[in-house]
Amino acid sequence: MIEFWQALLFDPDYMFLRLAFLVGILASITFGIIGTFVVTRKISYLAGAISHCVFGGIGAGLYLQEVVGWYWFDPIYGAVIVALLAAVIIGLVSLKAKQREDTVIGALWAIGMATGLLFIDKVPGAFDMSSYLFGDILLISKIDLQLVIVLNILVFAVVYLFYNKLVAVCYDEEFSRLRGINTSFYYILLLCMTALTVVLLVRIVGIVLVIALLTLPPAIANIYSKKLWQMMIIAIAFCVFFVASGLMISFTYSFSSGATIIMVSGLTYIAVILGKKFRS
Amino acid sequence: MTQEYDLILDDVSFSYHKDPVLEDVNIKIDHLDFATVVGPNGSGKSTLLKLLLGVVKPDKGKIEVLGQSPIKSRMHMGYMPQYMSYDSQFPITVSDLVLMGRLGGSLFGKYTKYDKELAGSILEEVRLSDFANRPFAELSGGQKQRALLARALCCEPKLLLLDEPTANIDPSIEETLFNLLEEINKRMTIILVSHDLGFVSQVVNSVICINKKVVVHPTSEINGKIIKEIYGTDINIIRHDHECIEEEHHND
Repeated sequence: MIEFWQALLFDPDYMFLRLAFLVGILASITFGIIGTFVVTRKISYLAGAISHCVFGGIGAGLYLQEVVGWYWFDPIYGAVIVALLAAVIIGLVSLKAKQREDTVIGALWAIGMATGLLFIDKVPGAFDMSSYLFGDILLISKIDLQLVIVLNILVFAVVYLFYNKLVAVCYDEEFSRLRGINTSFYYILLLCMTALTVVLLVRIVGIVLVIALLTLPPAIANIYSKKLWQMMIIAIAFCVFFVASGLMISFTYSFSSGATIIMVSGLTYIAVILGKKFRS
Repeated sequence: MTQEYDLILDDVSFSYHKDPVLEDVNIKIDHLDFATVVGPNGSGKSTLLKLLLGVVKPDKGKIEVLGQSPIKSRMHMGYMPQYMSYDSQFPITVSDLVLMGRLGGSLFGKYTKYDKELAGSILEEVRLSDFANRPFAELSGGQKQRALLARALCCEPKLLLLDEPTANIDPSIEETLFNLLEEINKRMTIILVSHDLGFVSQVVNSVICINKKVVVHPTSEINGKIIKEIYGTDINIIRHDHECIEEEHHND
């Protein structure tokens, strides 16, 4: 444990760890806020679909970079573009298609994954897919740090300005619409912010584990909050704790960072739920 | 001319995927009327409410609410839905719920001092002041209904639409709710929808009965303030005065 803090704070060889730690802590702000909406609006399935579509974007990004020769095109750009595209498509499907929404979203989920694999087939050289699927803090770069800062400002500004409307749209869409609020606009806006959040999450915990880190901190926070903004703050605190302790444990015992973070979150969630059950 | 009535339905028909739900409906409701729409489940009550709120459009006919189209009059309608449809885990307090009635006017939806004072005085009117900062989910059924009523009133409506306000509520609490509604009715028109005929009390001025299967009421038997008989091929909407009881329908 001491080694972790020494490496984190002083060791010049562990720049990647400092970067990962910083990105993880800063990203917790966005995770807590957006995760709260995802949980209360019950769109974690949609977030899951977006995260798997991101794989298609990463694959396409790598293809453009390696095969087409767009060297400036970091796969994360592909991830951002595809995530936003997926958010809009999924949002429209869920607004327009009254029935079989889950089937369509499930199809998008799979197509996104398959697209990524097909692109990667055509990229020469060895490719470590697991770092995208399960996260790899070695991959976190300065671009991620920029993305997290921009996203924090964006998410905070939007949620601060439109807080009352977002709460209303999440809690009672019908009533909000009757009050003249463009509920479809806010729904798509929420999904787009979720999409950008998912891209960040993919860098930290990987595609497959995204949903857990997005939903578990708010789910725990839900138990202790009376208002939505309280839930966001508590979720942020839990998220910081999970990311920090997860990185620390994974570093100390040489575990995969993404899996360790998720394990800490999941076990805490189960403990909290059981604790609540036994007390009542 | 049209301003005499707060609500006019002129030959309105509506169907979901070719299944007719409402056919040739004609209703007129006076200003400051307390009208009740009664009918069993699946009779088209909820569809009627959706039509009035402009959530769905009629296939045929014309609806005028407060002299305008339903969508244009939306901001002047206070709508109280059923409380069972709410997520009981969503963290929201009673006063925040009531304040939702003030949304829609401004770009950012920030609540003004006036909004908060209005919400406070309405909470007092529905006797929930002590519960303002409690989570909505912790209230009893009757209190939840009153909180949702407060939210509808917070819209400062000219027309109040209530969807099944007596569902899942004790009769004694029902009484309180109706006393409250009687008081509110002095300043605005109320339209209430219910599947349960039991509550049709002296409070209500007029009753509109909806049911696909009910046979037509003879016009001669009906004498209300406004007498209207509406019926289509398989739907009847009948309006009568206070003595609307279940047996009348079955005897026909």
